[in-house]
This record gives sequence, C-alpha cells and structure tokens, in this order.
Amino acid sequence: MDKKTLIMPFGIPGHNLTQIEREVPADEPPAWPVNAELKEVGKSVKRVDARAKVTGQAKYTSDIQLPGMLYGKMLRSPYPHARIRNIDTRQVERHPGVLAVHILGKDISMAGSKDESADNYPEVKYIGQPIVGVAALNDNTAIEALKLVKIDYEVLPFVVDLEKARMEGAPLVFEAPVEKEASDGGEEIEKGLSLSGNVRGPSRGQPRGDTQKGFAESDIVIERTYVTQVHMHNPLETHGVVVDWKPDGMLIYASTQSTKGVRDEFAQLFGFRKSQVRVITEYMGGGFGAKYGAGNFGVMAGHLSRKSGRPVRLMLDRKEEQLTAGFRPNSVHQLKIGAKKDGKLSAIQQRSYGTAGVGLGAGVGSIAQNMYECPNFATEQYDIFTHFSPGAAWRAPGAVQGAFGLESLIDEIAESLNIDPLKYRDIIDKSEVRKVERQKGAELFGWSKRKKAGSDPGPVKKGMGLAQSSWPRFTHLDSTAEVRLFRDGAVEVRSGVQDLGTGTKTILAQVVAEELGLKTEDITVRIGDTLFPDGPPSGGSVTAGSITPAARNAAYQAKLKLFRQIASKLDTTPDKLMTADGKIYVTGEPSKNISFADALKQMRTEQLTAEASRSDDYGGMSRDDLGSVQFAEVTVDTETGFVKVDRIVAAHSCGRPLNIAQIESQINGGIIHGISYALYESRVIDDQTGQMINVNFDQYKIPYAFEIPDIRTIILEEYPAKSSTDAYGIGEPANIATAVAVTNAIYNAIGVRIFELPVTPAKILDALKRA
Amino acid sequence: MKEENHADQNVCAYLRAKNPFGTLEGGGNPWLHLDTANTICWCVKSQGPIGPDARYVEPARCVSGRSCYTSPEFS
Repeated sequence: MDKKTLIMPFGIPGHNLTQIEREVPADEPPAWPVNAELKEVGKSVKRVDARAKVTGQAKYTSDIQLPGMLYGKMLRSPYPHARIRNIDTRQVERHPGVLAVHILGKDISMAGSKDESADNYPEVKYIGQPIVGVAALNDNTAIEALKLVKIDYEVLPFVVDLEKARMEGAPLVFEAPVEKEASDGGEEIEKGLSLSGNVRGPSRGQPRGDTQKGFAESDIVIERTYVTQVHMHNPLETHGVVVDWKPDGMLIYASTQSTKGVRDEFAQLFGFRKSQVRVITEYMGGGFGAKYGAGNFGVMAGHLSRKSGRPVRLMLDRKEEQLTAGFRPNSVHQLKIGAKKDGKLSAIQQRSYGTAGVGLGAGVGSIAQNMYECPNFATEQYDIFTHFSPGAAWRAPGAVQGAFGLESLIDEIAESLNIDPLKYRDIIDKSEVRKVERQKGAELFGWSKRKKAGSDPGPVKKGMGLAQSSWPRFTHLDSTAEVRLFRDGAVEVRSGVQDLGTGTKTILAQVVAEELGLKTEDITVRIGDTLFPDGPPSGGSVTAGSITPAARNAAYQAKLKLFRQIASKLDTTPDKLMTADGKIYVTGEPSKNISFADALKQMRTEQLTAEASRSDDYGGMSRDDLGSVQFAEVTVDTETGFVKVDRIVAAHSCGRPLNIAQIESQINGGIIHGISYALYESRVIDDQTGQMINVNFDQYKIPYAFEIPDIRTIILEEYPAKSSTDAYGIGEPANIATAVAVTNAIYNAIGVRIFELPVTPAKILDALKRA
Repeated sequence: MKEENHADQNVCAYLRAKNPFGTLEGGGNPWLHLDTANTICWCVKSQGPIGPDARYVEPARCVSGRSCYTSPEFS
C-alpha cells in the first residue's frame, strides 16, 4: 500500500502538546489541527435526531408495524433445572387466533428445527429458558394461547447461590468435564480451563514477576475481600425483533448493538447468504453490552414467521428482560497489595470468583494488572456455574468489579502510608492523561478541603473520595462508511453502524461536514441498515474510534472526486481546491470560488459516491489507555445509614472529543449507572425456588431523579495521532470509577470501610456498629 | 487478561464471543486474543452459552472432536 507522511498534533493541549510524524495510507486525508481550529468537530452540536426523538417521530424496533404482522410470545421454563419428557402443543395449534407454533430444540437452526421430538428437547438449565413459541393475531391472544401448551417436566436438583454452587456435591450445571471425553472418532477434545464441579478456571491473565518475592520485599501489605452484586442492564427498550421471512431472504428489525452480527447469525441459522438478510436498527433504546447476536427470541420469531408466512414481532416484556436477557455477574474479589515506604507498589495478587449463571465471563477484568506500575502481578479468576440465565457483557465488563477492589485498596494503602490518596496516585500512576485529569479535577472539585476520615462532627457527615479508571483504546477495523453527493445538493453518509442512543449519527454528520466545509445540519445520516457498508458493532467503546475515521476518509475521497469534476470550471487543477464555509475555493485566490451546492449541480452524474474503511492505527497498535479520574462527595447520616451523593466531578479523555454535549451526556449516564451500582441495585434470588424476586422496576431499585447529584465534567483534549479523526469512545470509561469513588467518599465521611456493594443503609449501620 | 490466541485453531463456525473490548470474534472473522475470564461466549445454533450437546461454550472446547462441532469450511 502506498504511504505518505503526515505531521499530526500529538499530546495534551496546555500540557505537552507537540507534533508527530506519522506514516499513513496515501489515500487518507491530511491531519486535522486541534479542535480549536475546527468548525464542526469538537463543538456541542445538537443531536441531528433530537427533534425526531422528542416528537415521537423516531421509530424504534418496538414501534415497527408491518402489514399482516403477528405477535410472538414464548413459554419459558418455571424450573431452574429439569428434563422435558413431553411437550403437547395440540390444543394451542387448534386455537383460532394462533397462526404458528414452534418448539426450540437443542439446535435451534432451521436444520435443527425439523426434529421437534422428545430426543431433541434441550435440558432446562435456568428459569425463563424458552421452550415453545406462538405467533398470534395480538399480544393477549398469544399470552392466553401459551396456557394451552402442556409440558411434562422431570424436575432436577439445582443450585443458584454462588457459595453453594462452589461446594462439593452441589448439583452440577454441566455434567462431566468435556476434557475427560473423547470424540466418536477417538480424538481427544482439546482442554480449556479446568472444570471441577461448577468451578471453572482459573484464568491467569498475564502474570509478571514474582509476587511472593514482591510481598517479602514490601514494607506494607494489605489483603482484603471485596464483594459485588449482580447488576441488571435495565435498557429502556427491551430486547426484541420484528422478523419477516420470505423464501428468498429475511428482513429483520432488531434492537441490537451489531446489525451485521445479527445479519450473519440469521443467515447461518436460516440457510441464507448474508446478502439475503437485511437488518435494520434505525433507533435503539440502549443496550449496555447485552444486545449482541440474534437471540433465542429472534430465532423464535424467525421460525414463527417462516411457518406462518407473515411478519412476526417478538419483543420481551420487562419481566422477561430482567429474567433472561443478561446481567453483570457478581464477584468475590480477594486482593492483596504490597508497597514500599515510598509508596511504590511491589506486588499485586488477586483471586476472584463470580457467576454469570450458565454462562462465562464473571472475571474482574484487567484493571489491577494494567493501571499502576508494579513489577509483580498474579491473578486467578474463576467462573462459577449456577442454574440461572446467562450473564452478558455490561459496560466495562469485569473492570467495574475489579476497580471496586483495586481503588479501595489503593486508597487504604495511601492512608496507611500517610499519603494523600490523590498525591499517592502521582507516585504510582505513569499515565500523563490521568495526571492532568487529577490536577484539573482536584481543582474543580476542591479536593484540598477534604478532611481526615471520620472527622466531620455530628451525626450527618460529609466525605470526599476519588477513584481512577483505565480502558484500552480498541477499534474494530472492519468498519466502512460511504459518502454520497447528490446533484440536488444532498450529502449523505451511510453505514451499517447502529446508534445505541449515544449520538453516533451526529458525530458522523459532524465529521463529514468538517471535511466538506459544510454545516452538520447539511449532512443526512443513514445508518443502522445492513444494506449499507458494514459498520462496527457498538461495544467496548469502539464505535467512535472505528467508524468516524472511515466516514472522514470517505468524505475526503468524495471531495477529491468532486474536485476533479469541477476544477476546470474554476480554471484550476483539482489539487488547488479546498472547501470551507459551504464553498469550494481556489487556494490562495479566494475570489475564485463556487458554492458547494452549485458545484454539486455541475456533477456529470446524478450521484457521486465514495467508500472508505478504518485503516490500521497510525504508528501501530499501542497499549496506552483511555484514562479517567472521578471525585465524589457524599453525605452520610450515621443514625439512619442513608447515603446521598452530593456531587461528582469527572475528568475524562477520549482522544479528540467530537461532540462535547454528547460526551457529557455519556459521562452523566455512566455516573448514574455507577451511583446506582454503588448504592441501590441488586438482584435478589430465592434460594429455595431459584426464582428472581425483584424482576420488575417496582421491586428492583434504580435511582430517581432526586437521587442524581450535581455532575461536572472535564473533557480532556488529547491527541494520540492514531487515525484521521483521532477520536475514541467514552461509554466504558464513564462507568468504571464512579462506584468506588463513592465508597471511598463514604469511608472519608464515616471512617469505616465498606467492602460489599451495594452500600445499603443497613450495611452502613452494621459497619458503624462493628467499628 | 489477553492470554489465549485461538487464531491458529479451527474454532467452530457457530461460536461467537464478545470480549470486554467489544470485539465480536469467531465465525468468519479470525480469532483474536481472548480474555478467558471476562469474555461472553455463545453458540449460534443454541443462541446461548449452552451448546447443542448441553455443554458449555468456549473457544477451547468448541473445536474439532466435539459432537456439535462444525468446521468453518462447511458453514
């Protein structure tokens, strides 16, 4: 590939901004200067879909109505562990309002569905596991019809409690470990992490050094156990689809974080080429990590549509959402840290276990491994299987649980060494980004007014705390955008990428407008449709960093094509042209210009289009991270145990900020999630029945508006010189540090540490009693 | 926590995974490093972490020799 060299801004303005030379693909645009010199990017531009959203014009998956559409519902297991002896659907098949019935087998693909016999019934391993679906003329008919299905279960022993599942003799979620068996052909199956009873692991990450030696050399060693609860996703829009199956392809409206992921799975399951499956996600009401893939509900809707010959809508109700659509796993996190007298860390050792029900992914992330300098590190992370529905990725998977332990213990070590927790991070943290964030955040927050722990007089005490986070700069390279110019003046950017509600549409419009010298409102954004070039999945904070460089690159290529067509009309050559303020100018001769709209009218064809993809990171992949520092102030009533978060100051980086208001909005959301995790949310399961007790919002506590504190954000401009936009996401980083910043503030208020989330009034009172 | 590279491994065509960094791996995509403690895995054919053979789903086990395994070549 041809290359060229760019000089790009590099570093943090006002701190260490400089320039760096980067070798980049020859067809990529010139480097943008810092945001202060740009017109559309880096500003608080109003969301392009704001009006559509507030007027109800925006259509979400649950709003989709297709001619002849049926309503799907699924019958779910009431038992956490059972064998299905028989399923009798004869009565429901005779129901006049029911047009299709489908039983999910062990293999739920079209090929697998041909065998709906008892041999093909899956073993039930959790309450809410879907078994039978119906498509009816309306929702109520579907719900009533499901009552006619008769299922004969053989109920089996189960375990849903984390600690009981670890015990010897506990009912097994998965029978014999796979590695003990051989295939039919005698070939031994490759070993994964070991499974003993319900305990899988440990995963050992990337250990370094010698922790025992490190602890032996330490002047101080502290070991603690931190416990976090199961945390639900609670998206406003539940999981769901509308599926229209036809012999030559499928049309799917999906509430998803990955249109192409859903497309690919439907294609595999129903025997179509990917090009025969179209997935649309025009608007989406939040996912927070849980909305990947077709989903069993989606496949059920596909089968019901295929059988009935009509479109089928299958949206989960709130109870189904909470019971079956994922959660952040709980954790028990044993953490031991050693440090020298000067504060330098000498060893970190962690051991954790948690449960994602029948699924994996209950670790505590890599934040303890990566955030601070420490020569000796070891981890052991275990998954415990239980008879509960599977967990799902949840905004910074593992990192939130891990940060609660790490940042609590770092706080404690700082105190033991008689060093201010803020200054202590200066000693152990190499990140220049977090260093600046600490300085700016502390100033805005008023950290210097922080008192000694527990010293506030009276029963109602104030406290201040802080915590940091780390999140890798990851991107998804299979990210493509197309920019189309129309002779009638329209400019469109198109991609399959979906907008979860975070503002992807708006940043795409900003980036294209900036490149073409237009206004954001001049750009039409068409995304969330697999008819367009593939966009990235939206997870792990990769969207902005993946798709905006592709969009800018496509706009640049479209611009060059346009220049080639109109240069002669300005008596110049294409290389002399530039765009600004809605016009195309001859460089150095501003009087020679043409409006962008007039230039489009002179195109040789009705449309001009260019497509481009995300290139590899300029300068190669690096392991540097997106950092944040959050400060919290709380009020704790020591007589009632009631905690109120008064204010949060959040200092964040996400490379080049594209839209300040939208970034603030995402940070606000992350903080609210964090406060809710720290103080309120917790799934409750009845150990005797395996039932989740608080399956709806009248029982599952989330914060009300009056529990949201004053939130101030500091958005650090930082230029890593990695792509044509240098932008990164903020979804994950916004959520990691909040809960532990709050619990560190609670400690500062009352002088007693709490090691288990959520910090309820009862835990505060209990801790004070024990102190 | 990136510790296992399955790029050289013939992982089942129906395995999917979402690691903490959001990378959707598997199927037609090359397998990248996985964080085995924090990655969510699922089988396309069962739409969950329980495979059609009632065992759990993960890259190291969804390989040739498992009864429900499908080679990427034949998907």
